[in-house]
Amino acid sequence: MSATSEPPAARPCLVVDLGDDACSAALVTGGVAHLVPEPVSGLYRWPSAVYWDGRQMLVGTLALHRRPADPGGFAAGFKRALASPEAQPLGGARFRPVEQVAAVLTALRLEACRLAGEELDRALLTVPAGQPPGDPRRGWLVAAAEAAGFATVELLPEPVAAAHAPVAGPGLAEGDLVLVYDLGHSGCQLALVRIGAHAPQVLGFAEASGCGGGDLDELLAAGVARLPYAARLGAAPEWRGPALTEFARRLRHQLSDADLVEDWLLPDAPAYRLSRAELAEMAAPLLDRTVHAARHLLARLHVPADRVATVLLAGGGARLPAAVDALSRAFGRPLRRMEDPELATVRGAARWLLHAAPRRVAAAEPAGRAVPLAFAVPGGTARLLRWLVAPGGAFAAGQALGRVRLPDGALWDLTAAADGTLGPQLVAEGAEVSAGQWLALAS
Amino acid sequence: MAEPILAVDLGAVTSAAAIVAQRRTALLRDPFTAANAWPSSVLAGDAGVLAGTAAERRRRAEPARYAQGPRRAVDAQAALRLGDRELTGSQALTAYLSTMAEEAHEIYGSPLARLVLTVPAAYGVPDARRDTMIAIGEAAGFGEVELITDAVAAALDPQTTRDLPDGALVLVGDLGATWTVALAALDPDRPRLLAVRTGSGGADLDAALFADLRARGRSWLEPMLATPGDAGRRAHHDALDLVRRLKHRLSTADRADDRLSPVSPAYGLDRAELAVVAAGALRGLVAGCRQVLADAGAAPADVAAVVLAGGGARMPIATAAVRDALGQVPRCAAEPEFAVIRGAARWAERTDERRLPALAPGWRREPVAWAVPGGTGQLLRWTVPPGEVVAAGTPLAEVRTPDDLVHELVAPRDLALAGTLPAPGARVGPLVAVDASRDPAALAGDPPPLAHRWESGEEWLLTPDRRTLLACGPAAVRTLPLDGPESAFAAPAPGRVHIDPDDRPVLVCWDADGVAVWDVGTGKLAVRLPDAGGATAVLVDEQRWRLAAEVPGRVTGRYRRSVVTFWDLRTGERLDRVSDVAWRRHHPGYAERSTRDAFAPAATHGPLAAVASAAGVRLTVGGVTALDEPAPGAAVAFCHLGTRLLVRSEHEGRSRVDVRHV
Repeated sequence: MSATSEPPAARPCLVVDLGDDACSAALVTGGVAHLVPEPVSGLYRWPSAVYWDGRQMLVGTLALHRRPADPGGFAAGFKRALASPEAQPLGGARFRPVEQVAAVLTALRLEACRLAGEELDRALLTVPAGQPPGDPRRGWLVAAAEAAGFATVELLPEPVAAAHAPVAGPGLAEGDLVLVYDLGHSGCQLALVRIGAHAPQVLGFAEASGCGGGDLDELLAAGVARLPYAARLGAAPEWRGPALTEFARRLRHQLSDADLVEDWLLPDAPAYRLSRAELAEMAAPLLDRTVHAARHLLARLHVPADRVATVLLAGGGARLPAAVDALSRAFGRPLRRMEDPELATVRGAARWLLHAAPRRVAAAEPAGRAVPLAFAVPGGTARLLRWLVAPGGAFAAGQALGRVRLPDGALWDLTAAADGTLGPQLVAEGAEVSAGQWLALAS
Repeated sequence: MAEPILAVDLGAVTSAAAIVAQRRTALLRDPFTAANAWPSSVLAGDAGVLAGTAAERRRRAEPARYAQGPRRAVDAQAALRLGDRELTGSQALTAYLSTMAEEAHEIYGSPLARLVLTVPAAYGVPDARRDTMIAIGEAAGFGEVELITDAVAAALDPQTTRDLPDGALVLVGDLGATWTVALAALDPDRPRLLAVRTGSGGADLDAALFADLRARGRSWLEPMLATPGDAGRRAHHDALDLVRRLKHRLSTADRADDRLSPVSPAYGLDRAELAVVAAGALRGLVAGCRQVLADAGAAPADVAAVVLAGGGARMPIATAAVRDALGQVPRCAAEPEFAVIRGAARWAERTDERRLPALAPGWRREPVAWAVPGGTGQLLRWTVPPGEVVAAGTPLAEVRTPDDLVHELVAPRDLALAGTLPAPGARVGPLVAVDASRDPAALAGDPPPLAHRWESGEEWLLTPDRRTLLACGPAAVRTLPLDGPESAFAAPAPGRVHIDPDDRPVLVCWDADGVAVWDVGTGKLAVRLPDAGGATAVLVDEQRWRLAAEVPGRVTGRYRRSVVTFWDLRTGERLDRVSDVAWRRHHPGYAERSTRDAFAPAATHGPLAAVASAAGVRLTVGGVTALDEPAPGAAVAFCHLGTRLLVRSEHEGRSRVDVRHV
């Protein structure tokens, strides 16, 4: 037998950070990662929004553009409801959240394929730390990605991804413990990592949900809504909520580099003034929860705060002065902000993909010639009651190796046809077995 | 048989047990009565559940807490209400079995870890009640619990069926509290239940006799039965005992009389009265026999033996009814109520026959195994189709682990996947092991092992379909299907094997009376040529399916000119007659030996190639020599599946065929 070809190189992969508010993607191919810009805006942040025009689903900025004229066909924030099987009305049709997520991922994949000049069938998606293995939302996310045309879909916890994001300036020292604080739209992803020679080692991670930038915007919007002139928004009820949230977000963003901001909800309404101190006061309960979660993570890992060399800030919240103040007060450790903190997760995930150990499983090497143990079970099926020889145990021809019970209750012994040594057992005691099935390996 | 076994038959009225050790069986006696029959009784006493005779002895004192036949609670999946207690069938039977296990321990000298337990034929496969019975055995302290259907056990009773051949059909009538009729096939290591019908015949008969007693003893019995509380229950139990006692006595006597108590009037029954009462139950028994045969698609003539077992088998009217209906005298052991336990013990004695040898691994195959990271995962897909040769390091499959990372299983060497692969979506781990082609270099150092060797005084012939070996001796044709049992066709006269145009082997034999062609497979005469008697040589043209019979002719000068007659073997028609010394040269299609033998100097199958030469036999796989051995006069072939190499050679005047799995 001669081999027909060399083993194939790693397939290109699309890395996606799918957020409630916006998502970003990076194409990893040939050992290099390229961020995928949104074709309409040219930005690396794709709005997590869709619009159904009756024939096709528009995604991202295109969807935002159609929203003013037809808000009924527009949807955003559907990722939160990913596990819901309920279809939501959208432009005269009904779509489940998983279909809306699939539409966003499809748009990302098509744009990435266009950039790569080849088909993409592999994806790495980041998921919040609050969705541990077994969470149904993970299954739905995989299903959405498969529906978007990805054959192989992997998930990576967001804090693990953020921990791998590049840091501007001098590198961190090998062996340093670093707390990664990624304050996003809907929550805070936390990770404690040890800086390694090539890649950080993630010691543990956690999530504080419901305390992200989006939640702060909602608080701000609620305050604005109480102003007398905000009542005029009642004339266009479908616009009231989005307008208030958008106004709040604008105020918050402006306060990231100003002490006082002045803006107008309506052109003919009085100016709304907000100081950085007022915003910090409003944000304090939310930020306290993130600090509490960080302390809890350190305690769980038995790491005193003073052993943390640096706190790395990521996510949109990294630009929030109140967050910087809260972390400084809580831990008293040096703070550093990642490059492009909003893109830290996707860039980190791409680096993880490039630098993490390859997920390739080499075959176990048997000591001698491996031989499968299979038996012509009368009637076809039986239940393996017990193994009579342990792995590694020697046996002689004719010796009973295991015992099965047939469906009618009869017991049969499984015997060796030749001398040998039992290798790994492929079937556990109590399992159903069938005729010809490999139950163990021997040598 | 390494370990001692306790076999137990749990009946509705009585139970029995036997210790089976070293292929010997001894019935376990009730320690209180020294009888082989244990009362199937339980009683919820203050200190715990009493079982067997201990329960019987407290029955009169605490009749409300007494129950007979606790297995029926498992049958019905219901609980037993015993006075102020409620016991599940499992609890009651666990206590009962524990009592038997303790007695067996006492007798045998050490605990018995293995139990063979009978279950009613009405339990299906699968049936949750089987699981319950296994759990009961385990709860009673047995590590291994094996079940056997009671009707099958009755069919195995050595007192009635030991003489029957393997595969014989036995019609069993198990006449206990329930009357079960079953048809069982006595396959050597796995007797099978083919059909079963169950009725409440025994209980119905007891109820009818009880009703007769109540009618005839109304004046004195009814007041006793109507007494409130335990006294009424005692009377009821005693009355039921009385009718059962009388029924049993009628098996050996024409009439039986007894009293409920010393002060009660006598009550008697004779066989004629019993026959009247039992008529309905017996009609049901006969109908059951016919239905079971119909269910299994069998005729009475197919049945090797009819066996009656259980206490009801003692009734002569039952034996007569079955005999009259089926035209066959039923077999009935001396103690039919122990037929089931004897059969179960026979089954237990043959434990070492229920052994499955490991299947032979493929010579050109070798498992490849991967440890799934984290222990378990879900197989997403195979990325390389079976049979495609890939290089070392090529990903073969993707496995998703619970943390939703996808791992690739890579080829450890150049190989091709083979055999059945786990289906995409299947749970896998901690190991994934699949069949793959073996490294050719390894094959060179490990020639295929010899699986079989057959020798014959006559040369072996392989049929054109490469499925069957044939050797034609003077007395018989040995037929050896490669995948079936050997058979022999007794040759009516000396002859030779040829292959007809439909690839069927035939025996062409001749003597002074003519030529006869026999189909070896069916044993039937295909054609007879009576006018071809006295032939000195018979040749067959297998392509045109014609036969030439040569008889010595008269002497002309220095030559004896033979006369040759040609026959059409399809029709038996004589075609021609010639007198020609060179007829063989003029008719080259005729041969004394079959020309359609599948053995040849060389054979190939896929990458396998076998060549026979004067030096011996060489087998190569993809050009790599895997076997090179001397074999005088060899010819080779691969079987129809290409999985076996057959090498025919000559050794000391005998034809030898070696078979190797390749």
